[in-house]
Amino acid sequence: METPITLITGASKGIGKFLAQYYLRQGHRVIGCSRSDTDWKAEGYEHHLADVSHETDVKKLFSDIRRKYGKLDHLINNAGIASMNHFMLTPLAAAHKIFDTNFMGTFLFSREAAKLMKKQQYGRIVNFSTVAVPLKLEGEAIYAASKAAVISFTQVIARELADFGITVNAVGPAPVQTDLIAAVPKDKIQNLLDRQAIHKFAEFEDVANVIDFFIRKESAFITGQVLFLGGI
Amino acid sequence: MNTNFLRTKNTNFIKSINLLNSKRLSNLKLRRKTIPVYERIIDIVIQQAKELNEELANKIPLEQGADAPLFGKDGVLDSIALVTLIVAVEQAVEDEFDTALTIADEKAMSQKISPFRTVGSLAEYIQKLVKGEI
Ligand SMILES: NC(=O)c1ccc[n+]([C@@H]2O[C@H](COP(=O)([O-])OP(=O)(O)OC[C@H]3O[C@@H](n4cnc5c(N)ncnc54)[C@H](OP(=O)(O)O)[C@@H]3O)[C@@H](O)[C@H]2O)c1
Repeated sequence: METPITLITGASKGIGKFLAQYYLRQGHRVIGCSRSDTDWKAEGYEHHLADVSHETDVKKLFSDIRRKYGKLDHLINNAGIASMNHFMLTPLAAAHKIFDTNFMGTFLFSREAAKLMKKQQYGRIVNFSTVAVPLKLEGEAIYAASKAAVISFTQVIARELADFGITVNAVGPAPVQTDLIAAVPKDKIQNLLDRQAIHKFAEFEDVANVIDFFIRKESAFITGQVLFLGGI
Repeated sequence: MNTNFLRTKNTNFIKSINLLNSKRLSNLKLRRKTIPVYERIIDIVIQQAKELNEELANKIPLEQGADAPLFGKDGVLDSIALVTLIVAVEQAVEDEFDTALTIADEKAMSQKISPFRTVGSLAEYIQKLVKGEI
């Protein structure tokens, strides 16, 4: 079997780092990116410094992939930022930044990936939403709105890309213990966990399990779907 | 038997072939560089259009050269075929000029006359992008 090429955004830490190492272990060639450098290296892993919301960074990254590998099998749009704040106290600049990373980043990477995947009439795109969308989490208005935008986007482009053998789905993790939620007050998180059917944090493996399902060759008939963890 | 001498001979042979190849390659690149940018781009557009034509029922009339209609009033392409052509041309131009380029950007969408009208208008628009004129 040909080595699958997997691109993971936000691979320097948290869920993205876990996924990068996980897919390396599955024999994929993994390309990752983030704004800052990684503190880890591995054979078969290639890291790029790129801001997902900067079009020139993104174009350059894809140019490199095309020249080096000539194809892309999987794109995992994991990079994301959050900020917990009452919306009345949220500066416009913060809202822009969240939308730029979570939504525009997903848009730019999906657009460039689709161009590459279309060539081989095969591809799997997995986007990242969150349980904060269906749970309508107070204090996360902008974050949740940006992740709701990711859901709509996923569902529409799933249709636009269906004829090219490309599927597009989204995973909506329940809270996972990473830096992303480190600043969120404990009682808020507990409150959130209480509203899940399974009152626990999600593990990295739970996220990987959903992605495994979406990217399987056999999942060719699964597209435009959003799968939430924890029983929402 | 001592095969060392064979090996050195061999590597020298390979080295000289490589040298020849790289010379030939840089000559080729040099020669290409003397061709005007517009010609190089229109060649790419026509080449990609030819390849696309193989998949199309309603073919681009490439015998009309630069005037061959693509998209719009007299165009033969539907939006999916246009996307396919633009993506293929974009990648080929990126390779030829060693640059990153987005053809379908807001500048293209806001041109008074659409750059996607004909083979020639597309090549002209890309030429401006490559030269950094827009
Ligand atoms: N953790 C949770 O509880 C949870 C729950 C639901 C959904 N999620 C989603 O899961 C994804 C991963 O979250 P995480 O918890 O692993 O977060 P994390 O630990 O904060 O890691 C985020 C990663 O994204 C990168 N990143 C951030 N902004 C970027 C940008 N503009 N360009 C490129 N890379 C960027 C970061 O690197 P740099 O800072 O160096 O760029 C880092 O590698 C996010 O989409 C998040 O919304 C997480």
